Amino acid sequence: MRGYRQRAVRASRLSRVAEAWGTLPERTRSLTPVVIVVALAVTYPFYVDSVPTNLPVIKTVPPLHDAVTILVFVMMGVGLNIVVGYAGLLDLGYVAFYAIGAYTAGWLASGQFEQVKVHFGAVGIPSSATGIHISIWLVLLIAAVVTAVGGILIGLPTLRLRGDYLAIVTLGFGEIIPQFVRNGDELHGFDLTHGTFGISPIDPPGFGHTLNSAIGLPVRYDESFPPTPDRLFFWTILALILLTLFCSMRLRDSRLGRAWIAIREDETAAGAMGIPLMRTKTWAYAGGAFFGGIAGAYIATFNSGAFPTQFDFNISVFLLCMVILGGMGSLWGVVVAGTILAWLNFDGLGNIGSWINTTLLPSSHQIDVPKYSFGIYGIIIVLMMLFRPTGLIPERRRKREIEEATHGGPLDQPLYEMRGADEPGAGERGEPGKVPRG
Amino acid sequence: MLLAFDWTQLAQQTVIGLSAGGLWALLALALVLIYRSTGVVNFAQGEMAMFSTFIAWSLIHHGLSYWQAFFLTLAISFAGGVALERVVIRPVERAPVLTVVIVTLGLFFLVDGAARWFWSSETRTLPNAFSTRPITVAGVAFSIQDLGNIAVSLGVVALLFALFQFTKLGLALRATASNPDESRLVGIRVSWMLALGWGLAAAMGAVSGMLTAPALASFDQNLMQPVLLYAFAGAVLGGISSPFGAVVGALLLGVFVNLIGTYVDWIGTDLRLPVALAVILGVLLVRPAGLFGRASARRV
Repeated sequence: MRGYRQRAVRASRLSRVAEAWGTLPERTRSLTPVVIVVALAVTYPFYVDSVPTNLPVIKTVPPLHDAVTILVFVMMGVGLNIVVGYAGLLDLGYVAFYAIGAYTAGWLASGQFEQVKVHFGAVGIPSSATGIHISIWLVLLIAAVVTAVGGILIGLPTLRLRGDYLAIVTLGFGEIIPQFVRNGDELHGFDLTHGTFGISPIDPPGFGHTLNSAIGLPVRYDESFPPTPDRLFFWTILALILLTLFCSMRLRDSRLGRAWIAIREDETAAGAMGIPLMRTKTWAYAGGAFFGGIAGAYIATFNSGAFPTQFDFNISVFLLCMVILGGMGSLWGVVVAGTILAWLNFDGLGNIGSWINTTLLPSSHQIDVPKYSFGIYGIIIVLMMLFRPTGLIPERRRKREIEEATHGGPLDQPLYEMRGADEPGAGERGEPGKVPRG
Repeated sequence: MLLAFDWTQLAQQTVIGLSAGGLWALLALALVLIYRSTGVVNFAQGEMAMFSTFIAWSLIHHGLSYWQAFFLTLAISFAGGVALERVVIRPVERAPVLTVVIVTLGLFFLVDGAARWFWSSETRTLPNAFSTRPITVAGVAFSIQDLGNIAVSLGVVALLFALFQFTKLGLALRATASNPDESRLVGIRVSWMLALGWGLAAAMGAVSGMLTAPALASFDQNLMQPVLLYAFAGAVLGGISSPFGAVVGALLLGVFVNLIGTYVDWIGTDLRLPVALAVILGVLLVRPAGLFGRASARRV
């Protein structure tokens, strides 16, 4: 009896909270979860070390160093979402943009080109160092622009193609770029990419001595203490992601974004309504490439190197998996799914695997879960497409599209149905909607 | 360079190219088969072929001879292809093209993961289907293996042609591909025809895989990934809607890639794949329908 009453009291209190919540302005209501998530993310470096390491199943949250990599991949997922989610262009070569970004950083902020000596705003680099050393902040921007131009160049010949041709060609580009990088160490005697060794080390970001003495910003990320380099890299990528999300959201609601979505829904109709198809699709490519380039350049400076083995075809599909799992076109879906998948890839599968091995399986039958990671992604993709093609957090419009497209029954059902064939008078002539009496 | 031109070498390299191209042609034909019936490029085709090859390896490992294992694997692959269509593709039959393409991409990884699950990732070898002894024709030495590969590929293509042109089942398959709705009205079980197409494609991929593996020193789960790209290139070159074009395109591509790899120093063996991809791009830019495909117009 008392239990019921208590529960009833609690329920009424809850409903009162819900009521109060309902009276808040729409804007506050939609912003609150965002603010909470951002606050949790910004303070992550302070509580990550105090999270217990013996949680069931997942064991623990990712350490800060892995968290940076995870966020870089989320950023790429959000970039790919522009191409696949908004414009509906199936791009299987997004890793090419990642590679272009990383190598641009490698060229413009390392000792790769020994023949020249160019310094511009780089921090903590002795002025005698050879090679090109440009400030990383500038390099991020340059890499974004270079990659966007690369996206346009790749897009111009390919975007005329229908969806599946586009997939084949972009798949090809995704394969060509690593091949080129591996073999680009002797182009007529000129070492462009340093072959299989990759370019390393790449300069770290930093704010230099002037800003350090003025407002205390770190001189160089990799030598900074406190706060530690990982914290600085973490906050920076967080800022970059928020910027990407903001741009992505504004783009979606812009004239261009609405044109993308129109093309995704029905290319022919969009063209007939006067949307310039090629130009709009190329912009989608350029937009997606822009953020991929920033992410690529950022991870290059974070790892202090760009290596050809990073740019596997699998990465492209991994990113695509984020977009599909999250729900094509759904920003928050991509962020959530991207975080989960990237975490699974770098920490999660290993943690879950070792939890399964220690608690569920006898020591004679241990399994190596991370080894099957791509099989697991395959299962995720197929199951999602079969049972929830709209993704974890469906975008409203996309959901309607899928429902409209699939309302037809399976192929073995009769094509035409004679409605009311057994009613009296069926088949006789009469006014539509009225069954003549016999 | 021209002075030292060696006709023997040209003939040898052409046959080697035809041999590789023949194996690509089978996979290309499998792609075209599914493309024509469902309008979707099956990205999992190569991995399905790889899986079949591993089945063949297991059978041989359990004491069967190569050719016994070959035909048993064909039957298993056919059944597997039909099963895959029934379980995974059928539910998305009516979904947008993008959805189905993504499902085949998912299958790519699923089949790959399954192969890594069942068979450990160490490299293994498959015995040769044919003698590796060279045979001399008009003063030029060819390997019997290469000639055998060409013969089997062309034989399979011929069989398939006969099936499509001279049997009632083939007629039903063609009708399904050209107009599913009307085919259903005349009583063809369209959905099962699609499943049959997947079975045939899986079996053809199996042939391609089982002949590709012995030619390599060793193979692992990545066996068919380059072959799939070459098959794409061949299919696009010939026209992805034309089975005849896919075969010719893949053969041409085999010869072209092998000759350019032999005679152009800086391409060698490393950059053959990019050459194939350049061919894809070139064809799509100049003649998107391919050499033998027909440009399709769509009524909206």
